[in-house]
Amino acid sequence: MSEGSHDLLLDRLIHEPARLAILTVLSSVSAADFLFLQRATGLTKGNLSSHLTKLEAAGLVMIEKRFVDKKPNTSVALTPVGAERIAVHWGQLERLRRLAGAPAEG
Amino acid sequence: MIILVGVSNLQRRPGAPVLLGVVAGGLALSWVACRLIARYYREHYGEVTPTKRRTQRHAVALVAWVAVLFVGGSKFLFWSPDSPVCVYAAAFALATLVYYAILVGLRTHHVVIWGSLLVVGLLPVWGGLGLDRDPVAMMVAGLALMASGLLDQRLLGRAFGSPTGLTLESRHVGG
Repeated sequence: MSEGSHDLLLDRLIHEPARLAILTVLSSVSAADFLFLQRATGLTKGNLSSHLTKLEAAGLVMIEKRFVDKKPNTSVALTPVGAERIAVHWGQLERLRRLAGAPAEG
Repeated sequence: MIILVGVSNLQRRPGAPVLLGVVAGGLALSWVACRLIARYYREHYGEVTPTKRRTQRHAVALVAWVAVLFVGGSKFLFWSPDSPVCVYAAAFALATLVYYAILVGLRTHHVVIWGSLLVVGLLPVWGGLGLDRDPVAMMVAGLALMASGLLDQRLLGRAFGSPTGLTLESRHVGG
């Protein structure tokens, strides 16, 4: 594989559709609660929970469990690393899209 | 609230005790409605903390709204009690259009509702109302705001799906 194609390798942890959706939603806010993420991504509770656990283990999101009006509430936010990784990932996708549209070299 | 301000500024308003009751009742109703609406959104759509950039944008939109309504409207437009047009209605509509354009981008219903109020405000049909012109315009603006809010909610519902699909239990995961 050439050096150029190494540059275009996608981060598999982030590229999974559900995780990409979660991280993209989180990149547009400072923090969001579990219900908002569920609404925005359309994932089931179990699926969202499982993906969040993986993202937290990778250090991409911070999960805070707290009480709001005496009710349990889970708040999720991107870590600085997570914010950087999702920005890089979208940059990679954008580069791939541009390359796909570019005329082939002879 | 805007409707209440309009009612309390009418020349042919009800007597002081009735007006006090209407304003106090209206304020209480507004407060309860605000709490219930906030709770509804929290429980059905969840909560987000906006980014700093988003908060700044909101502040800019608010400043622009005030500037267009109170500074632009009074400074650059003809604002006289005898005028057959209603500058207040037109300025309110324009200010709200600017506010939405900065904050979220204009949607079709924003343009239709606020564009209509802008046009109606500039039509020479307000002369007969005399000093009641601006209070009536406030009440119309209040109704327009309610209609605009309801259509915003409809748009949100379409984007996020039915609010009945998820319950309060969904707000939390794990132990």
